[in-house]
Amino acid sequence: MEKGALVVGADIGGTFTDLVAVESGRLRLHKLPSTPHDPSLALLRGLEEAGFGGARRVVHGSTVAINAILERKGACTAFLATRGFSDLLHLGRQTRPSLYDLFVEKPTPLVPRELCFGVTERVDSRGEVVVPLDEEEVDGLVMRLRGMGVETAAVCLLFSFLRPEHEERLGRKLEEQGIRAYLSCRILPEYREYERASTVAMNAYVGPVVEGYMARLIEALGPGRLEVMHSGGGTLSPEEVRESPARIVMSGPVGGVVAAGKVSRATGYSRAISLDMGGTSTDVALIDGELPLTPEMTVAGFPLRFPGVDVHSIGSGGGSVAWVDSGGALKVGPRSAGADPGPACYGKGWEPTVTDAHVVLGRLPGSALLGGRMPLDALRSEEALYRLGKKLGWGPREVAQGILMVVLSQMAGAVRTISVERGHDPSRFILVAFGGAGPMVGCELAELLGMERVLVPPCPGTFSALGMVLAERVWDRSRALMRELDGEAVEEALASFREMRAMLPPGWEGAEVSAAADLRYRGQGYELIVPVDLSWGWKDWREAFRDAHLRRFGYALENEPIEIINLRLRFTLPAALEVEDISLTQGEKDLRRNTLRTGAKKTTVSFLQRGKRWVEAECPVYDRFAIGGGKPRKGPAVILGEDATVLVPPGWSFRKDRGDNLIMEPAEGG
Amino acid sequence: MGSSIGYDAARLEVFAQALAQVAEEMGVVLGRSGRSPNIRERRDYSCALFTAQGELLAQAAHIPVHLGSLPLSMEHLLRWLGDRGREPKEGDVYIFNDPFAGGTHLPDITMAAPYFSRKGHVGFGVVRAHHADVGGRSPGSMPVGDELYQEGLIIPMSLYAERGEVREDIEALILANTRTPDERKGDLRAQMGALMVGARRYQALVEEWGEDFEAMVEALLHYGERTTREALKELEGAYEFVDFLDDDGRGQVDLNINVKLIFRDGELTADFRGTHPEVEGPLNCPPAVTFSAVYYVLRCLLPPQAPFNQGNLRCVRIILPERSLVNASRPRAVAGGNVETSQRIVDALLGALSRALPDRIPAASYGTMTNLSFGGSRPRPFAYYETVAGGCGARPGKDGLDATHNHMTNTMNTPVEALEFYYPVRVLEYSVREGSGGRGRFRGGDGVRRTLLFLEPASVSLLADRRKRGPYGLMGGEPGRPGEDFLVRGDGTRERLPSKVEIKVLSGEAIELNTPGGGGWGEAIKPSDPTGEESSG
Repeated sequence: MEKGALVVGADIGGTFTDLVAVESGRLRLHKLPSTPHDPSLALLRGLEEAGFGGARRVVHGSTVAINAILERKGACTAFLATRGFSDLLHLGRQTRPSLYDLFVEKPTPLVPRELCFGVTERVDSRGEVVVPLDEEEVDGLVMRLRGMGVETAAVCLLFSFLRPEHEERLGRKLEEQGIRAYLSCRILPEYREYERASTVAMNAYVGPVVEGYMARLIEALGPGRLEVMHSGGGTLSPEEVRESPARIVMSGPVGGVVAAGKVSRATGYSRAISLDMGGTSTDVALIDGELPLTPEMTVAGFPLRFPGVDVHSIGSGGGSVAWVDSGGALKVGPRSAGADPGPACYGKGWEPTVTDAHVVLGRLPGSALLGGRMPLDALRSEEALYRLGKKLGWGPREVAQGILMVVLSQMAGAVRTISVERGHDPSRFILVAFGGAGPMVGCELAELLGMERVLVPPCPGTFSALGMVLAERVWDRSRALMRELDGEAVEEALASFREMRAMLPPGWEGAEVSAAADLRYRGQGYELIVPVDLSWGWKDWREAFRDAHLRRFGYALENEPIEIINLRLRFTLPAALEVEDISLTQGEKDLRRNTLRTGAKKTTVSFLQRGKRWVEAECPVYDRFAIGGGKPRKGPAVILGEDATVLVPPGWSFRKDRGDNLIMEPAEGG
Repeated sequence: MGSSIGYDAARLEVFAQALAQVAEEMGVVLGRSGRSPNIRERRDYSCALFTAQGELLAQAAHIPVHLGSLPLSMEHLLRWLGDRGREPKEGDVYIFNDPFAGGTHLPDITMAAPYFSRKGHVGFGVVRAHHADVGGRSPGSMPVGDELYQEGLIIPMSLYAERGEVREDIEALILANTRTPDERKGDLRAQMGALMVGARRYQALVEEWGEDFEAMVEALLHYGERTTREALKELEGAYEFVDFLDDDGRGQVDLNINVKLIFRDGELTADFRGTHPEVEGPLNCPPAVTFSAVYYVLRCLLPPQAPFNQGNLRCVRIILPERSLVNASRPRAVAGGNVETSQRIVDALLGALSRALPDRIPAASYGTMTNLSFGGSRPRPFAYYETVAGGCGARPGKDGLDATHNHMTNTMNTPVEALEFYYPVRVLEYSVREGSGGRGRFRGGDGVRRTLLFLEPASVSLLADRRKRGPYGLMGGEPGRPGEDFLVRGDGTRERLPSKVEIKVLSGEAIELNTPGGGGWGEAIKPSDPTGEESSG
């Protein structure tokens, strides 16, 4: 693609669709209401409205797959397993999701029991066929499935990752009768039958919906332009998505983490914690030089075993509702007032929310939402908090202070979960705060965690969309090995890596390749993903694993056998754009059009200090785009930007760096 | 311009979150660094924080059967220190598993450490984990025996570490008494690692809250107490129920558990007088197990986000008859008290409660963990233990869950592909046992069928119940089907197995387990009834 061509990133959320366009380095933003019944409508309309129609590349974070699962609008799918195991999806891991709830429910599997079938065949743990596939029985079953109107079939036979031939034969017979087959030996050749079955079922269930959606977009955009963000933090072409469509299920929260990693690295920090605070939830992730990946995600209660960006999500955001429990403690969330009726200050409902607490404490000056397009009713906020306060004998301001203390404590807990609990000291990371509400609380949260630098990017409200254009093209593959680590096993691993490389689709020839292995001590139930070098001998593998184990768990064992469970390859092609390719200054005029205004030069704001003490301070109000680079200025300050307000508490300084990020640090001597 | 008073309700919530997170983090460390599948995959462990006076502050219970037993362990530890005039010292780690002195059953090994800050001794951390083998006469240490000594190594209160250094003599003694010493050592070290992480985090928390700490602790315990009283105030009166265990595996049958729940002024008394005397077989419970069952049911009555600490426990009184199934004496066998009797105690408690709250209490769940352990020596020595889920009781307004662990346990299954990779067995069937849930207006959940073919000879021990009487239904719902288990010979002949048995199987023989379904709720509407659209039986 020639340099300077128009590239668009599109992040589709429940309420708004955000578009970010970059052409010849110039950044432009566009936001419009989403069209939940068919998200492609808002996307296409937005491209037209903003004049982005000639885009050479449209990178898209899609909710279509996750919505198909949540709303149960996927394909009519059958599940085929080894005879005796057709209930795999219904048995799960035999656990319940909540310990003390007598009315607990488990999520209903995507395939009903009537469409789950056993097939006579069996392969053992050494890959030997113990019972051959009963072809005649399969023919009959396939005809029956056709008669039942089954569109797709998820096939998961025991030990198929060691010997795929039974699944392959089944797949051929299904396809011959017009039933699209998703085979576990191709989609996820790894051990653990339930997680594999669940992953394959999810692919089969969302497949036709995702394909139909992509086809509509391709028709409108023309061929070769669309790319889709996947859960692993990279993008794929529509053809690549088609093979394992569930890879795009969690593409939503990923964009922001990608952007946080890229922007902080361009600023000179390789360690960052991202804080994305939205209306109903807050997502945090820890970036230690590279994107944090987890081998397995949980989607609507089901395991999905594809590499995913490790995002920890908690149910508190701007719309979270505050309440008092029967023991008299103040709680916030997980219930949210959502976008409708929304916080009391939106003028519809009366629920006291986190946003209302900000309003009452002067932390959201004037009509500060959406570039002033959404007026806020401060009196309603006060009234809502007053009603809650009556139960506690407090006034609205005290209630507001209490709400923010609780929310900040919840967020600090979330950050500790991804840092301290995994052996990282948060004070060695910078906090990248974005989302509509993140920049308001970034510095106060950093204080709680002993973090000394907060970065707020130029367009915090559309940061995820920016992540789409910064994301690399990434192709992940994995395969089981299940061998004790020794010289022979490494030979076998290398042969396996070669085979996996040979299966690479066209267009990936020049890709950068990184290899990793899931390793563990014999008998452990949890593997560590350890990057490996293909030139290593087996003792290097062992050292790498011991180092990783020591770092993560604080100890390593000397003479314990180590097992190689899975092998992983990740192919990477460069992103559409690098952070350095984008000049925010060039787009400044565009951005300023939307910038918030209060008219006032000064305003009074309450700040929380060290999580304990509230202070009130009179703050100058700045226009973000009028702040020049250079010397740091002292807080307190309120900085109004395109779609978010940045609060700088007393004792902190702020400056704008060359990338137009705002950097906040504790002031010297402050 | 500053203010720091007030906001008690918010500060309380922040303090409770911070303490809960320390306990949670201890659990994460243990779960991730433990060696055995039992700890790593099945998460059969708990972590808790106590004040220096031994009051429970916070607990991360991944498995409810540990709920009530940690406070009793703490009591025992304090008494032990007091009797000897010993002061808690920094870096000391205590270890014990004696069921009649602070423990539950022998595989549950508990470690505790006193925690310090600049103020001195400020609390304790406690970590309990189920170890896959602590010796005794059968692999997995869950034998169908008749005295404690057969069940494994008994560890009275001892020092596992002094001044932060592991005492090698004690550790060597423990490791010499287990079939899997390497794994045990890894798990023990992981437990101590979790305690050390807890020490650092607790110290930081105490220092962060400074002079407010003690007041916050008091507020937190009051909070737990208030929440519990509020929930219990809705109830008034006395409610009785009797449920039965099939047998003790040694000839004693129909073992009754009698419960009388008395609610008065926001307090609860659970009176177990009338319960069957202790038995020869391994179904006896030390008091800690019975306490856990009562606290589990209490917690189910509390709002979902409620705290759980010593304050909650102040509202509960438990009366246990001496030398009974629910309060056994040394040296009775207790291996199954934790895993079988505890479930039946819950059944009895919920049965009594259903009379007070008919619209809020489910029918009985499968009520047995169907403990299967086996071991052998070919192709190399192995020992394995698992529990199998069953059908859950129907709820007012909802069917019961199929094939899901309930009440005192929530451990994961072992994947078939993992089981076959490590052990000389082949799983022939793992399925929902259709039709086993009790009929009713709302249907009880179905149990599980699991059939294991042995490829090498093995000693097998089965410890199960509800093979005679199915889990009860409520409000006219039918009981779930009892479980049944078979030995399937090489020639296909099936021989019914007793619910508690130790046998030797040959290569080519299979064990078929069928776990009970849950009880139904409400009278079943006949399928022929044209208005029976809600019938799900």
